[in-house]
Amino acid sequence: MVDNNINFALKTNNVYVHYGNKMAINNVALDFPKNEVTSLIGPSGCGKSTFLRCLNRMNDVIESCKVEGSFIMNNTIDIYSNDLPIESLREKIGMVFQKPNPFPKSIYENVAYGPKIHGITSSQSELDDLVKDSLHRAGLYDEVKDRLSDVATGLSGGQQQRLCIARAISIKPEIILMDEPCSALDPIATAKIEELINELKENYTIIIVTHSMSQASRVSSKTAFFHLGNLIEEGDTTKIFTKPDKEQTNDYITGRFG
Amino acid sequence: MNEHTDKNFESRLTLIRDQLSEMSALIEKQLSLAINCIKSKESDCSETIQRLDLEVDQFEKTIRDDCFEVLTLHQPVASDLRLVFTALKVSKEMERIGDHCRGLSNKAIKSKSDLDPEIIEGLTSLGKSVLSLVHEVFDSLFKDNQDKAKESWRRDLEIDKLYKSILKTLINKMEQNESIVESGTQHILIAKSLERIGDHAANIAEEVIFNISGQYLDLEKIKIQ
Repeated sequence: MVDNNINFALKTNNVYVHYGNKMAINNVALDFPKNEVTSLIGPSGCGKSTFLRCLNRMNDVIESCKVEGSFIMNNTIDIYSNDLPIESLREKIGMVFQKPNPFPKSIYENVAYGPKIHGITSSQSELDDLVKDSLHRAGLYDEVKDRLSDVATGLSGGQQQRLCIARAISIKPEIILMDEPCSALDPIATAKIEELINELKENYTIIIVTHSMSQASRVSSKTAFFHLGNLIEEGDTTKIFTKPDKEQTNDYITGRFG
Repeated sequence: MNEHTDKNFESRLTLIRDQLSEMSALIEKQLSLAINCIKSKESDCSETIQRLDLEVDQFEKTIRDDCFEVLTLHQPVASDLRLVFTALKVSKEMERIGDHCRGLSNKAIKSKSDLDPEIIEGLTSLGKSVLSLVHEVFDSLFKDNQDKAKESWRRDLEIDKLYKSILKTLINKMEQNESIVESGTQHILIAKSLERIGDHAANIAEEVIFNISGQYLDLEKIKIQ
């Protein structure tokens, strides 16, 4: 991904991550094209989630974790700069987790919480519109419009995950990180999330960690394969899933190890 | 390449390769008998070819069904996907070669023996070149040898030249002697079948290159080289 003509939402270089003495990421350089979906794949423990969590400084809260390297957003913003408050960073880079984690509040409040904290809206009607728009974009509005005050934990797993996506996009981030967002969902709910990812990429850059090879091939235009903390290969998804350059990549995606 | 973690998947892919290998052996046998038929015109030989063709047709159907099942149940990617894709296309090309062998032998036993021996020798020689090409392309398939596949593709160009030369000779002979027009026409069709078998072998070579490299090469460039 070193094409100068590509507009990158995020560029990373010389990334090392250690948990105590253990190296989890070893000199990774990976750039993420704007408004595209990039999948991070690899066997358990390969470092893909650790790398993803570096991208909005989720690892900061782990005391033993040391992150080194360059993380530059939109060619200007250093994600790890002391001048950048973590709240501002999370406003720009949202995250959706493996297990849906709605707040124990109403559906409305789940989506309205972020905009309120970040002061994104200036009036109640503006906030109402933003909540409605976010739920729309997450493909959930029609299913919940008559029960916005109901508690969010009463929704199905797939609906809860789409609510979490609505929550993530309500603060208008530029990048959305997704850590195995469908692993707890059934095939129909998974299909809805994947369709949503496809629609969301028009407005957001999406980076997704997935264990499902078929999901990576369905939703992403770029794929990066990690193994033992190393970035083995990255490139166009079609290329990776038809003729990867590295035999290690071929072996992993065809199920020969991992 | 390492073995699959999923042994069932591994054994299904191995089975597809093995079936292609068995099918290729039948094709070579069929073609060899068909070439003998050009000279001997023995009906026994032709009957054996018909019987082998039924087996070849069955292999093509079995490989098609097995590939369909693997695609459905295992969703292969990368080298596995290329193998399945190649098996589907190569088995179809092989089946067509089998059909040409059957047609060729039918024409051979029905045609009169009133042509110059040199024409029959020329046709037999063309047949041997085609058989050698078919053998070489199968070898490239099972040894994953891209260079050999490219060489096979080039050799088909030589087959085409040989075919055109035989065609020209036959037409000249028929112009000089109208009484051989019937058998001359039959032997033009035989030569055409052999030329078509060469084309199918070249198609297989293209699939072999794809199976190994993941790309369909610009074979016109090979032609120029």
